[in-house]
Amino acid sequence: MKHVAPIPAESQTGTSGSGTTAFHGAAEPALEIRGLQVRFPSDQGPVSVIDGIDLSIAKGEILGLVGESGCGKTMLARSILRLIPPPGRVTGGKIMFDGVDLLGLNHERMRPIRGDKIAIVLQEPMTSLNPALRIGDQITEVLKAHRPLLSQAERNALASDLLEQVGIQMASQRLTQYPHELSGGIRQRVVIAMALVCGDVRLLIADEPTTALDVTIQAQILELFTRLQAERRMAVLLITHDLGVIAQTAHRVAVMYAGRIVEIAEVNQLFDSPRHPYTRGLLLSLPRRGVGLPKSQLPAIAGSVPKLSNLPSGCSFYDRCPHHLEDRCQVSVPALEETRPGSWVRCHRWRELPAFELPADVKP
Amino acid sequence: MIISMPFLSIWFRRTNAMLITGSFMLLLLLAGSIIAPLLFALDPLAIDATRKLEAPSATYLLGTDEFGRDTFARIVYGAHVSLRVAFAATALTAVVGIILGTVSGQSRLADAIIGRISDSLLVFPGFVLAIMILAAIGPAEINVVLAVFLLYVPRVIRTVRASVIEFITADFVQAARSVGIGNFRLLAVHVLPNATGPVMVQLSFGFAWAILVEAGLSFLGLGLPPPSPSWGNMISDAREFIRTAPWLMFAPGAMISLAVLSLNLIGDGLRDMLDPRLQNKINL
Repeated sequence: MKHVAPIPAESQTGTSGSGTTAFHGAAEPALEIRGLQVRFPSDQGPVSVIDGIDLSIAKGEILGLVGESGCGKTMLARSILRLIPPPGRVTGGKIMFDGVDLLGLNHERMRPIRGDKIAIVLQEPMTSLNPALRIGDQITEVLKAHRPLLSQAERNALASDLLEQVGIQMASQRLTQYPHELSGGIRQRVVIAMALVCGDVRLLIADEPTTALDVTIQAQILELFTRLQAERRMAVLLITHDLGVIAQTAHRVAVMYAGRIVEIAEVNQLFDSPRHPYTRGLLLSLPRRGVGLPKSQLPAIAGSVPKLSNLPSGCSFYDRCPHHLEDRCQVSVPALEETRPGSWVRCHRWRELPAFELPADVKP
Repeated sequence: MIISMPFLSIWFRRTNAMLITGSFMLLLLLAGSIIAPLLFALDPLAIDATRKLEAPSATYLLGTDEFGRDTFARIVYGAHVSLRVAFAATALTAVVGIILGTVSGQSRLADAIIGRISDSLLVFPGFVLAIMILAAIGPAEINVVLAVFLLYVPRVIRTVRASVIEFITADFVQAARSVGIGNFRLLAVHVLPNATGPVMVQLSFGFAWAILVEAGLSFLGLGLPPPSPSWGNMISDAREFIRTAPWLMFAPGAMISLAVLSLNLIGDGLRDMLDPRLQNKINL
């Protein structure tokens, strides 16, 4: 598989894709994001929730996107489908899909893409289904919107077929049930079925699809994602804050911090030799047993995520970074640099940092 | 009594006796007002000068008034008027309220305009405004409908608006949008059905209120012009005879109370049934 990597944004704020010309790898990207910028107005002026993101997802690739809450993962996902909640606005960049810039489409032209070519699975299965509608109606509704020529019987057949594909037994009976009659795991399967029922989905965005589920169900759902992805050769953007999920599922990982991508690498590379201090912090914070640590001590990254309205002038991780240098890190935003083919990091000091050693029992 | 009351109220809510009792009463009222004219020869306007102010008897179930008109017949036809006015006003309120509420839940500009107009209608005490409207446009059945509609529609608009704002950002609406469902369908299928509960409750109280306002306006001579019977103008006419013929006032008064009570029971019952928070309390 070819590995796709973003090019560093030339300007430090990463505005517009004009500065970023050459794009490494990705002979056939399913989706290509260039210089994406999303802003929300606030009392202190506009706040950049996403600040110059370059990212591409190859066909048939599972790209993991990790980061803390509020770092912009969900906004990135939503901007692909043009579902940024107002008053937020995409203020720059391009999202190329199928030769078209999605950001240039109006809502009428966006609608045929949503659910048919690009689909999203939301975090909360308990609330992503309409409590007032039977699940059969909710699945066939998608077909009604995208395949108006099918008869109702054909739609029902497709819906129950999809439910079977996502591992729901007695599919035809389930179609007549309401969401409240189903468990969280089943609901998430229904949501996945809804996302994939059109059969032509080329990019599936999964926004923390397993966060709300318990661990056994989580494993089943991840397995389901991997299987469906392989069967359909879809590209998948898997958003999560759970590194375990990434290790199990993703091919490549992008790490986001405060609206920017700070590191991107193939999954094994990232876990074996993370470059960015933030990524290292995340890996060290994974809960583990023993090895010289008192039981009560859970390692964590010092400090907390900076307010997006009040980012440090240089590297946004400056305040929390154990390796920061006043003269360099505080002055300028580091660019995303290639450390080896396919691996990129946004850190001034990546060359100087000591090699990363994870206690043996943590390796996923 | 102190001990038994909570149990009684829990039983009331569990079985939703309020909703059942209220619906039963309203149904009885409706059925009675429709069937009675078919069974008996009832003429609310026929004057029999020889039988004025008679007490209830086998011939005149509820006695006669000062013109010798059959009070029972007038009650039955009065029910037609009351229910017709209330139904028309509620239906109009529902249609306009849902449309305007949805629009204001969607657009800030529309919300500002509709909201300010609603506010200015809500500034006046309801009944006083109704009197003003009817004084301005004259007493007629259609005008009563219009007045009740104008007074009640802001509440429905607000209820619908609140639900639309609440549900338009709900996950399942976002999910539906994300699979390519169009705006109109999003509202009609995903947002509005979830507003049914609060709107139904609001409308059932509105219906009761419409009956009261109609009676009040007729009582003041601003509703249906005589000689047409209406519960309100019957009470008004009966004032002079409260000592000599109290049934004249008692009969329409009881009907108004029963109709309003039944609708309030329905409203409360619906609210209990549809409000999940109350349900949780009961299940504890």
